[in-house]
Amino acid sequence: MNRIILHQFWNRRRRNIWIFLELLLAGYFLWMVLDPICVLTADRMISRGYNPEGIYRLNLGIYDETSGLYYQAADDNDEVRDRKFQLIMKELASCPEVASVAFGISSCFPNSNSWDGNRLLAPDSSEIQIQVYTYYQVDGNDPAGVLGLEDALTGDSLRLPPTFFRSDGQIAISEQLARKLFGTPKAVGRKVRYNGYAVEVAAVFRDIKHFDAQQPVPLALMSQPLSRVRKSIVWQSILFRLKPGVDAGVFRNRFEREVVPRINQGNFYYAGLKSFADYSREATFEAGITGKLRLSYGLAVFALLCIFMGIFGTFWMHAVDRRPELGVLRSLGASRGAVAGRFYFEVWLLVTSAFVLVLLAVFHYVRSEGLAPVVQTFQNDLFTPDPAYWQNRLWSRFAVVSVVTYVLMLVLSFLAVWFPVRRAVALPPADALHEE
Amino acid sequence: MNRFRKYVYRSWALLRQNPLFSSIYILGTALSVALLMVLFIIFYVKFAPIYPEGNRNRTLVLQYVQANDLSNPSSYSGGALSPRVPYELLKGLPHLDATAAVYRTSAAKDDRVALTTRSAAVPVSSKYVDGGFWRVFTFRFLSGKSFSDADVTAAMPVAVLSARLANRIFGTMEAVGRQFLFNGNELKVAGVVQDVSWVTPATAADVWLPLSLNPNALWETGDERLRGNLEVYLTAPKPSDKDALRKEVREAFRRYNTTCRLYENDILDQPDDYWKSCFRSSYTGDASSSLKPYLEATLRPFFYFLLALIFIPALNLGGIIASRMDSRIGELGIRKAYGASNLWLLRQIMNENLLFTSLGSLLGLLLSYLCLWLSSDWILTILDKYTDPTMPAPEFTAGMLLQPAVFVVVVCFCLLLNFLSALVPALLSLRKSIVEQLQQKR
Repeated sequence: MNRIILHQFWNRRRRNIWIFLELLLAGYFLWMVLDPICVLTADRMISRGYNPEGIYRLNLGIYDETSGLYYQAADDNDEVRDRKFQLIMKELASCPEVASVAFGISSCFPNSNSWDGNRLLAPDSSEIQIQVYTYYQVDGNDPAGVLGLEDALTGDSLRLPPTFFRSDGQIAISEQLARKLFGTPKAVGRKVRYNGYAVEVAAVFRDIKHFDAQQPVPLALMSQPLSRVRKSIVWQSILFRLKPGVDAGVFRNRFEREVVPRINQGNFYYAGLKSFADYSREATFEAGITGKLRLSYGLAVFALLCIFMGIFGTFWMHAVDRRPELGVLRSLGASRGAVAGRFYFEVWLLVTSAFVLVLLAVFHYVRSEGLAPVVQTFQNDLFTPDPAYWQNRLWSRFAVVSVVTYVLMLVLSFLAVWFPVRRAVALPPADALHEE
Repeated sequence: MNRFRKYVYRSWALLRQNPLFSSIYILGTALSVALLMVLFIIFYVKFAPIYPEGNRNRTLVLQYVQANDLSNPSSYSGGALSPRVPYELLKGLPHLDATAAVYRTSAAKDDRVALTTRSAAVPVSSKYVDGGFWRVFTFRFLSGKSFSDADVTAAMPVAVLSARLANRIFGTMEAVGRQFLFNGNELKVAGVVQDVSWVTPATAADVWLPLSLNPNALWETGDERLRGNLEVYLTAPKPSDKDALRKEVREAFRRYNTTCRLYENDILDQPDDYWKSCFRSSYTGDASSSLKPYLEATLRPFFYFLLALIFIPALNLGGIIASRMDSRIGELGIRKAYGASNLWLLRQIMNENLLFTSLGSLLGLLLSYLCLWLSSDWILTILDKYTDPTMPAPEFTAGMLLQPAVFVVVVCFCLLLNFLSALVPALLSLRKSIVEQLQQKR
């Protein structure tokens, strides 16, 4: 039977040429717009490695000489600033809803809009680019608790040893970094060289992503002393996590009503609370990922709708023109399903033959041009993409995007042909033969 | 006129004869037009002269200067411009109509205004500008006037407010002469302007203050003291004078460089036309770049999109028309037998089809307005490589959308789509002889 269908298909080539050309063009276009969607979605689906729920950054402002009537000159010295700052931290830590507090430099948390990186010297003397979260050596600092880091070996909540915040000689590293350095996550107690000094690995934690919409990179946690509270203190990061079950809205209301008046100390003023979810949304937007995804979704929908309408229009006309043929088939005993199957087979043939040519064109493009990073960020220049992720390997990316494109084209085409076919096969054989 | 009425009547009959089929055709056209118009309107509001950037067509932009170390070719440092550039280096250029210097910061609401120290402070977006800003940009003053060059030089504590902010803190737009606190400093309202949408981020703010009130705005660095924190906008007297002005600016820098021994100050092919300056960013993702234009990288995919937006629907519609031509082949044969020429029939088919395409285009234009309205808070950033997440949501106004250029583009696109989709099927059908056409009908 398939030979007969193929024969008929060939005889109708002049009528099918339009939809075939449209499938070719739309297929190629669809592949190109689905590529960033597939890659970015895969990146987003990689686990963050931390739970952003209930984590906030407390933003402080500080009045200075330019602040006119708000500025209090008497409070503008290191001693008063130190004292007032300690009081603010105490206020925050004493909130019954707060589980843990961390205090670090501006780039010390995921999706922060600043970035701090360096190079580590591995035991084999190779240099490894890393990202660094630096926290201050102050009492009660608990970045692992705030971020909810997990031990790479046991999966338990990570506890940084107290010595971590007493000197600069220790480092906590991500699992990915441990594997790059030592080939294993069992790296606690081993030494690496950082900025020319030997530092000891105090902990290895499961990978966390700095940018939620991108892939994780080798990450290290470090500590540094805080000698005096300078005016630039307001650029640093005061992070805290709420206890499980605390209602974020209720907490925020109470915080702004009761705690904020006590935070407005000396020249310090409260400049707002920002959740990690907001930082994540902003970082994704800022890197152009949100825009890229929206544009790609819009164009993919456009291409798919064009395919849908093209197939619908073409097969509608086919169904009308072929009524007598269908009548003969039905009167000779062909079931509705068998008749409908002919149409679906034709659609499959049309889509598949067009897609084979699309694949050849895309293959040629990929082979000659390669596949560029979907979004340009500074991370592209600093870090080599990890081949463990399929989206970083040329041919696996080609294969995945091709499969997704083909499946979408086929599903849309079958959907488009459903109504014309249903209408055609519903016609009684006598009515269909009437036109013959 | 009679013939036109006949075409419309015939097209209408075709539409009613097969409503589902016609709907598919009209929807196909609408989809294509809607997407094209969304892209066109995005570009239009970004680049065309709109309030308060009504002089965009005669504006040049200078955002960056790079000091190349003459003793070490791989070493350079770059940044925005210092006040020396607009007020010394570029002063008195023959084709320079006006200069505006703007201290452009993030839209993050770090600034606050209040009536008194005891009243609640309102977060606002601010811009520090010079007196020339009000000549380069075409603000509409609802009351009062702008601050002058003399006010800027004397660092007078004055400000211009947006109507929204004036209403918010004073409850009226008639606020000229009234005092308020800006970050704790007392300022007097010099004027109130019509609100500015964040569609125009170079000028949008809630409050505009004299440049001299912010020490950071006057900051300068580098051995030649050309680098600072300012962006400079230059207007030529006429759009046709822009090239002359551009040459004069480059010549001014070239001349200045002949006096420098340590550094060469490179403005990297600036000043740019306003539209081109939107494609220049220090954040191109390329670590080796300073402030390269990424025009080509943005426009190349856009060009492909445009081709796809035209040719995919054209093929789609072409297929539909070809199917319809097959069913009308007998009619064409009879017309030819009665003396109609191929050209006459071709014109008839094209004109009949134009009604469908026009209906689709109109629907597409309405759809594009709906899309823009629903996505106004993010749609303008969709083609940007880097966006400021703290920027407030832009608002489209009717004045931006209902522009003659928008309708001209819709009509042109409609005609192009009609031509591309109907021409080939019509020619293929008309190629057959009368006998073949009548035979096919039988």
